[in-house]
Amino acid sequence: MATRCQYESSNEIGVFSALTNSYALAAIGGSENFYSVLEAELADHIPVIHTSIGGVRLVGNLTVGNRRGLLVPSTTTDQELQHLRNSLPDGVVIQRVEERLSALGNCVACNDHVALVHTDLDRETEDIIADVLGVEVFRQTVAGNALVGSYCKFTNQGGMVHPRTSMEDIEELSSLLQVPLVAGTINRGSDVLGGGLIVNDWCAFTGMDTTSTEINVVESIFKLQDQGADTIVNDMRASLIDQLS
Amino acid sequence: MSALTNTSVTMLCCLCGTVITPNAAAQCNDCLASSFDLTAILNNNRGGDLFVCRCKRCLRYQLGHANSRRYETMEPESGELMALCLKSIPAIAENHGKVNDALNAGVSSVELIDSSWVWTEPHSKRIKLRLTVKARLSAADISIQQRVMVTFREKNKQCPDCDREFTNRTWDAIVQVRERRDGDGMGNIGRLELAISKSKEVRRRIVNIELSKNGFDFYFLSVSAASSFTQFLSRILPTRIKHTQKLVSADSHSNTANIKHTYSCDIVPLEKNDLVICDKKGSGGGMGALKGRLCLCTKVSSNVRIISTAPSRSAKGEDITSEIPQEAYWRNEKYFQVLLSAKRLTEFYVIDVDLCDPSEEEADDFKLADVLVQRATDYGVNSEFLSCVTHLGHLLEVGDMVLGYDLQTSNVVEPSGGWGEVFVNSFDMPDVVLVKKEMSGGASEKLEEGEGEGEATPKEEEGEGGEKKGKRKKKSRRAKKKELNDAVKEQNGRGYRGAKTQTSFEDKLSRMGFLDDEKERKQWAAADAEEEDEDFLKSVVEAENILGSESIEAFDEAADE
Repeated sequence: MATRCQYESSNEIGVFSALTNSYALAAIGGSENFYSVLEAELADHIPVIHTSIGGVRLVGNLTVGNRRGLLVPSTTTDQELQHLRNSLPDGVVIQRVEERLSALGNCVACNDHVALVHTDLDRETEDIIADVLGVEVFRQTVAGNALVGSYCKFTNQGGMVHPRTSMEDIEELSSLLQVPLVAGTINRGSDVLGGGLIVNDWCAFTGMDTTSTEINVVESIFKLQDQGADTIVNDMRASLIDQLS
Repeated sequence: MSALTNTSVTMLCCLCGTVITPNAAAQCNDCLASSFDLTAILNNNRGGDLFVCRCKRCLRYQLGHANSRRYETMEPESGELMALCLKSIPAIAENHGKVNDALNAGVSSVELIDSSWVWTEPHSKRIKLRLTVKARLSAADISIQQRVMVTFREKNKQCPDCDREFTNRTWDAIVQVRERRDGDGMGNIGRLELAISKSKEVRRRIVNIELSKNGFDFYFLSVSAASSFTQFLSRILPTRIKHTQKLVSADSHSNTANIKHTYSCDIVPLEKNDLVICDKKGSGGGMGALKGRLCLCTKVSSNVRIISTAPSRSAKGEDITSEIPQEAYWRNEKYFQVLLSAKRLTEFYVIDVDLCDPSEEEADDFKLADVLVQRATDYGVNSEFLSCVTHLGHLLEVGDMVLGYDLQTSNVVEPSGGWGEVFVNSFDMPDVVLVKKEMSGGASEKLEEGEGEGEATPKEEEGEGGEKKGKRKKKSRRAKKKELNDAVKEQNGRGYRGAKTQTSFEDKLSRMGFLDDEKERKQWAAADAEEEDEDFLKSVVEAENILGSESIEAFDEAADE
C-alpha cells in the first residue's frame, strides 16, 4: 500500500525521513502532519522516531539503515545518538561513521541483504556497512551516477532505478541484488527516487505529486498490493484452468 | 558494468501509463504536447504583459528598443505593425528563437509559422494576433504546433518630437525671413513656401514656424540646421543674410554658454513681372546699361534679372538686360522703385509683329520686335492701336493675347521733378510694356471667328478670304507651289529686310503641314530651285511696295494676283 504525503509542502519526503522494516525516522518539523501520516500507517508495527542529525532535518539524506542497524554520520551529536539508541528496537545496532561523504543516505542504497555504495566511499566505511547492516557491499553506479542512494531504491521485494539506466545495467544490478528491478520515476516524472520515495517490505510513501501510474509502478514492483482473497482465487483459477485444459 | 552496450529500457509515461523510452519529462509525446501551453510562454514579456509603445498625440508607434527615438506612423492591421508586434514578443524575437528565460523552461526553441490579425476595437488600446507557433520541447525530441492568441497593450509614450513641442525654449537658432514690400504682392514668400513644401529634408529640421509681419520666423534646434536653411534660402531667392547672436546664459565653471542665434534674411523686394524704375542716380552696381531706365523684372532666383522696357531696336543682349546680385541691390536699394506690379497687368491683342532683326539667331530668352497691339477692352469698339518695342518677339504671333502694363491709362505717380529726375534723357516712356504671352489661345480663336462677318477686322476689308480658302483646299501640285510663294511673301510682310534662308521657309511649311515628309521636301527643293529665285525676288519687291498698308492679308492677296 503506497501513500502520498508531503513534508511541509515539499514532495521530497525521502530527504526528511527514512523507513526500514524495523523502524522509521522522521525529521522534527514545524508541524506534526507528516509525522502523523507515518504514525497512522506504521505505529502498529514499528516505532516512528522523531530526530535530527547534527541539528539538521535532512534525516533521510544523512542516514542509512535496514532491519539490523542504522549508520549515522560523524556530525551526529551524542545527545541525538543517545536518543536514537533509546528509541530504536532492541535488536537494531546504531553506529556513528567517520566518513568524508557524510550524506550516507545519498551514497548508500541497501535492503536487508545487499548494499550498493558510492564508488569513492572509504574502505573502513564499507567494512562498517557490511558488519553493522549485515549485507554484501557492492561499489556501483546507477545510470552513470555515483549517488546510488538518490537514484535507486530497493527492498527485499524489488527495486526502482533511474529511467536512464540501460537494460544491461539493470540486468547486472538485478543479478547482484537478487530482486526484480524496473526503471521508473516519482513525483510526476522526477528521477530522484531516493528523494521522492520511502519504502519497506509492506508499505511505501511517495511525494504528493506522484501520479497514479507511478503509484501503480511502485506498488507492483515493491509488491505492496493487497493480496486479498479475490486475487488469490483468480490466480489459482487461472493456473488451474491452464493445467486442466 | 559494461559501458559499451547501452540499450535503453522502457518505462511508463507518468501520466497515461503508455510504454515509452525514458525522457526528461518521463511523459509520452502526446501527454507532453497536450499538457504544454505555449500561450503563457508567448504572452510572457519578462514577467509582464506584452505591449507596444505609441505616442498619444501623433499616434506613431515606437520602433526598436525601449529607449529608441524612432517613431513611425503605421496603419492598423498593416504588415509593418504586425512586424513590430512580433518583434516585441521576447519568446520569438530574442536569440533567434532560442528561449533562455527560466519562465519558458521546457521549450528549447520557438518558431513562428503564421500570424493573422484579430479585430479589436481601436479604443480598447489592445492589439490581438493569432499566431501559429512551432515549439521544440527540451524534455523530449519533439516539436509541437499550436495556435495561440497573443494580446498587446498599447502603452502611451510621448515621442521626442511631441516632447520637444511641449518644452519651452528648445530651439537654438531662429531664421527671420522678411520681404519688406509695401502694397500688394508677397510672391517671393509664396515661392519660398512652395520650395519648403516640396523639400521634405528642409521641413524635417524646422521645429516651428511663426507668421509675422512681412514674413516668417523659422525655429531650429541647431545653428547648423539654421545655417543650412539660409543657404537653401539664398539659392532660391535673392537674400541678404545677417547673423547675430545673443548670450542667454553662461557657465564659467564648465565653460559652456547658452547662445541664441538669429539669422535675419531680407529678400530683395522685387518680384517677377514688376515694372521697376532704375534711378539714374544709382551708383551703377548691377544696373549696368539700364541705369536711368524703366525696366521689367523677368526672373528672380539667387539674382534678379531685369530687362529694358524701351530698348532701341538695334540693341543686343547686354544693352537691355542685366543681372542684379542681391549685394548690389542692397547697395542701391533706394534707387530701385517698383512702379507697377503684376496685379496691374491688362490684356492686349497682338495686331502686328515685326521682328527688329530677323537675321538674329534663335535666342532662347528674348528677341526684339516692333509690335502693334490693341487693348482687349478696345477690341471691336475702336481702332486705337498702341505700338511698342518688346523683347517677346520670339513668342508673339499675330492674334495672340498678351499681358502687359498700359502706361497710358495707368495711374502712376510721377516724381515731383518729372520723369527726367529718374530717367536718362535718351529714355522715352513707352505707352505699353508687354510682359508675357497669355497661353489660353482665346484671342486668336476670336480673331478666326470674326473672319467671316465683321467689318471691324482689318482682314475682312479685303473681302477675299473665302476665295483664298477655297484655293488652299485643292492641294494640287500647283496649289502647293503657290502656297510656298505665299509663305515667302508672308514672311516678307512681317518686316523682312534681308535674305531669308531656304531652311527656315521649309521649317515653317512643314509646320503648316504642306510638306508632309522629308522626301517630298527634297523633291520640291530640286524642282523649284530656279522658279523660286524669281518668285522670291518678285515678292520682296512687292512686299516693299505695299509695306505701308496695315493688313498682312493684303500681302498674300496681292502676291496671288
